[in-house]
Amino acid sequence: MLFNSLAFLIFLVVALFLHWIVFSKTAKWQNLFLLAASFGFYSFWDWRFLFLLLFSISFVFLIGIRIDKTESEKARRVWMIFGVFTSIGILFFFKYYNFFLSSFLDFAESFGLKLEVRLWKIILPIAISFYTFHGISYLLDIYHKKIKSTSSWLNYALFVSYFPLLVAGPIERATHLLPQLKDKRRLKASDVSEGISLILWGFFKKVAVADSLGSVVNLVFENTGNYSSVGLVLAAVMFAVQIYADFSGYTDIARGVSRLFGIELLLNFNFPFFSRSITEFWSRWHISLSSFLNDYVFLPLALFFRNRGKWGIYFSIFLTFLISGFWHGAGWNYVFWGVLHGLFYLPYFLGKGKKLKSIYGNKIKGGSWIGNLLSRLSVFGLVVCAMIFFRSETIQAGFTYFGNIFFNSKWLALNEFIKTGTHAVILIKGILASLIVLSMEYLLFRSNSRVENLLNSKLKILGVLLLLFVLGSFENSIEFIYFQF
Amino acid sequence: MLAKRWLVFAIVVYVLQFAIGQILDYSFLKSEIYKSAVINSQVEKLTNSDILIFGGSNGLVSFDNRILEERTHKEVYNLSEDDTNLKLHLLQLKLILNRGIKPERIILVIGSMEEGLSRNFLRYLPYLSHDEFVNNDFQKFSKLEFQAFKIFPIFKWAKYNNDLLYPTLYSMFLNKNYHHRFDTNGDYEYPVVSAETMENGINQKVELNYLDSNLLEFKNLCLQNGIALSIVNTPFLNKEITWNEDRGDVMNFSSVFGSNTNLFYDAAHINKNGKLLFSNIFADSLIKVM
Repeated sequence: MLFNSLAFLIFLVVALFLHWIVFSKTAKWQNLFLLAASFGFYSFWDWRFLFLLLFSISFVFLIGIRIDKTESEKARRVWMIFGVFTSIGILFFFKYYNFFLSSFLDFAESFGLKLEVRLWKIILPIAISFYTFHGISYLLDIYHKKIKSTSSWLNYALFVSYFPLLVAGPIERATHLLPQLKDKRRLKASDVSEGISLILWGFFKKVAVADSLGSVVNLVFENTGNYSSVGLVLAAVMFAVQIYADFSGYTDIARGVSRLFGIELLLNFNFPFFSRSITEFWSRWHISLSSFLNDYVFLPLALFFRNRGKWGIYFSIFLTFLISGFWHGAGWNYVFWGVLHGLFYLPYFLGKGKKLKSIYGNKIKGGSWIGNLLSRLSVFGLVVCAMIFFRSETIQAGFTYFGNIFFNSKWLALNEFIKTGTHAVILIKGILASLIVLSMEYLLFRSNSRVENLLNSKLKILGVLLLLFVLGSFENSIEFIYFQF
Repeated sequence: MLAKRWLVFAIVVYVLQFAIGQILDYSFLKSEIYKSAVINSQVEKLTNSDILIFGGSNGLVSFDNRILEERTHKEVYNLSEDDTNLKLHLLQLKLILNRGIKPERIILVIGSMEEGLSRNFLRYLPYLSHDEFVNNDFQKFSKLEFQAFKIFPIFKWAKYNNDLLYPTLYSMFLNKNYHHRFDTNGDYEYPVVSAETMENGINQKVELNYLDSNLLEFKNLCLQNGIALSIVNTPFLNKEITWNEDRGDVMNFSSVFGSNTNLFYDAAHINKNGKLLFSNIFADSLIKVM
């Protein structure tokens, strides 16, 4: 059941009615209903994996209690390692087993060693990366004594499987979400208006920007040899805008839907394309994953390598991005994407003083407008370059894409995008919608405001509905990109 | 208070979308954008036609109506539409009969017998609130979407804005007589292309089912309304169509051009030259059965 489907709209309306009218008596009833709704939502994809989800929830819940109740530091650590590694083991089996095995077999074959090992037919359970990370963050927070383990299985199960965030995040923290589940929620005017603003804006980004650009981008990436250099650059830029609109649109809808149930989810995107440094970009893009990796991967690594000076820090950053690449998908192209982002940090460490300091300060203050513009364009350019590998099937396909940009017999032949009238219309719709989204979000960025405040009047809501009607690409609906992770 | 304010807003939005949906439905059905609109807006023209051609893209590009009219001394209009199948031709027939249009003869062009709704069925969505035939056909497929299209008429205009909304707005405000890929006679022609760029087609025989339920219903409706019916197979490149039965109403020209690439636009459609030649060949045969 996709967020941009009619089935979800009906599901949401019914769930809201039941939550606020039928099950509104106590927090327990509200949570019980939301958990049932979440399991129902998950079952729409494949009910069999509900058992895996239930196992993961119950296992982490029990380990959490064990860590909390154990006094010996050594035993606490053993329980924590057991919990974290079992969770990672399950994730590894479903997501990476075949990937590593086939990579090993290919590697062995390149040395003339042909091994007769069969790959298993493993179906990747949807949302496994997200709920595994929820569980890991919960265990680590208990271990580091940031929180106490909850005694309510119901609340913990809802924290992990709450349907707005279950499939593609944001990756929540127990410190943020669990307290919101303790008390009975009441419907507030601000939750309704801001929730609707988030849903509509997210929906517009998905349907008008991501789905339109996506249909054009898919064509280009399937036949890179048929396009001119400028065409390939444009398609890469369009993919960056597509993935932003797709994922941030999804997050906006998730956060908006959650607000309608009186629960606030973490911010996941904060206008990343207006960043003036790569560090700032990562403080604004997929924030819930970046902060997870920062807290649970980078900081422990940096602490471990603290005696190695700035190169110890750089190594920690590099390793963190490598893991980020692995998290995204079982493919070397994702790993390479992570490696590239790790390499983007290198110039900071080659410099001294001010340059190195800027890595710690997320925002560069001041500067001339032309300087700011150039910084933003440079960061955007780097992000787009890395995205080419993210979108390509393999690393080699990514390099071929670059090769076709630089060593192409055709420099400019934009008519390749408009082979049919429908293609031309979809492209124009996508570009128009992208310009609307980027300019509106730039205004929000400049005024330090947020998407939830964008549609603060009913007239504006009507305006976006009208834009959806005219610019939406409902017919070319594409699945949310991050669902595959 | 909060609920009341949002309820009022929701009602306003609902009424507004309903009104916009109705206006667009009306404008579409008054236009000449697609053959689906022509059926409703050009009743007089269709009533005056002696021969109506039904079909998909083969029917659309294979006939030159001026030649047929000259040779048969009859008024001819081509209702063929690309990306459509027999099921949709049956719907077209029901719609024209419902409007009192009864030609002397119908030429039904069949290239294949695909089941289900063809893509351009969406061009009949503006009929949803007006015509039971269209309702019935849509209901068999996506029930949830069908209900949404009925309750929120604007949904269909938003979902198919490329195919429905933009052409309708263009026709409303810029060119009232806009036709999407057909001339005033309902014809369209493919240009002559280089034979080198054309796929040669596959040497194959395809058998069509004479007892197909849609075809039988089509024939019965013609019979009940006193309309003569000719079932026609237009030329294919290196492909021969055969029928598992023939009761004398099939005119099979599928292999008449064999592998002459000069007469084809692609393996399934003849080009401008092929159309001129075929129209004369077809007129000869038609005169004999009339």
